[in-house]
Amino acid sequence: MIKNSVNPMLSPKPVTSLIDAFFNRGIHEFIGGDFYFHQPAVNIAELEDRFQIDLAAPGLVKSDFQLKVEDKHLIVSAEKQNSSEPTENEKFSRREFNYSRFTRSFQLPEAADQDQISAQYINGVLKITLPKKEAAIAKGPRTIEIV
Amino acid sequence: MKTMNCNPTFTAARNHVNTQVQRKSPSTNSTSLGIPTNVKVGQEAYVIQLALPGFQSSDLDIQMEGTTLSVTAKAAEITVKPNVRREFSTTERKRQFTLPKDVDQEQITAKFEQGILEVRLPKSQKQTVQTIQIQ
Repeated sequence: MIKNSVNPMLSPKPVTSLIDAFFNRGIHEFIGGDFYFHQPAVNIAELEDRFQIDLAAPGLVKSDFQLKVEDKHLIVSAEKQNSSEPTENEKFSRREFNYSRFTRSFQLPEAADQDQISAQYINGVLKITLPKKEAAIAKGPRTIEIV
Repeated sequence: MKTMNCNPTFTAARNHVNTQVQRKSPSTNSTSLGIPTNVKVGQEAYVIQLALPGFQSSDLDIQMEGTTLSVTAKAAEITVKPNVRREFSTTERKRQFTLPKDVDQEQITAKFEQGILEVRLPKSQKQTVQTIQIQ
């Protein structure tokens, strides 16, 4: 929690670990009184002009997902509407994964532009793109003239 | 008519215990990752679902050899490397299944949608137990 106020210039750790801390400090939300035990896996990348969150959640459709930004957090939740749960005649003899309902939240870094967040659902991965604010995009080294 | 007098669900349970899943141990070779699998047993078919997020149809290979069904997934190199957090990957993986005797191998079908490979194994409608009358 304290990491949020550390001056990156003074910290001995690389900036990426601060960003990792940003993303990992997700709030575990209780939505509608339910507690979702299962959390889908994510890959997070930081590029020059954006952050990329890939959330692995196969077997769903676009409309099953809900993304919202609330209080500097990005909350991803999903609930499978067209249930492939077995009918009376079918039973699971083995169940190693279950993506029918989950939620996961991420603390947004300061550099992310909250209004430009977009997402696509491809090959069972929800790809969320968070462009960085103009000011946050690192400019190349500049030389400064001495007058 | 089945000679067993136990509950049909016990029979089904015994049959699907035969759907053995072999996971390759990590020390053998590069195809060491397994694939999370759900198996559903219905009256007419078995359904195997494999979770393969991030893979494409063209990355998958399904082979039948005898009573062994093998699924291999191999994806191309990813372009955007996750440098902040990495919890899943699309490294090569494989899983094998020993099919029960009542699967009609000619009728096996598979489809791949949004990262889930679903293999449908219809059960053979032939009676496996025949009663022979003594003349």
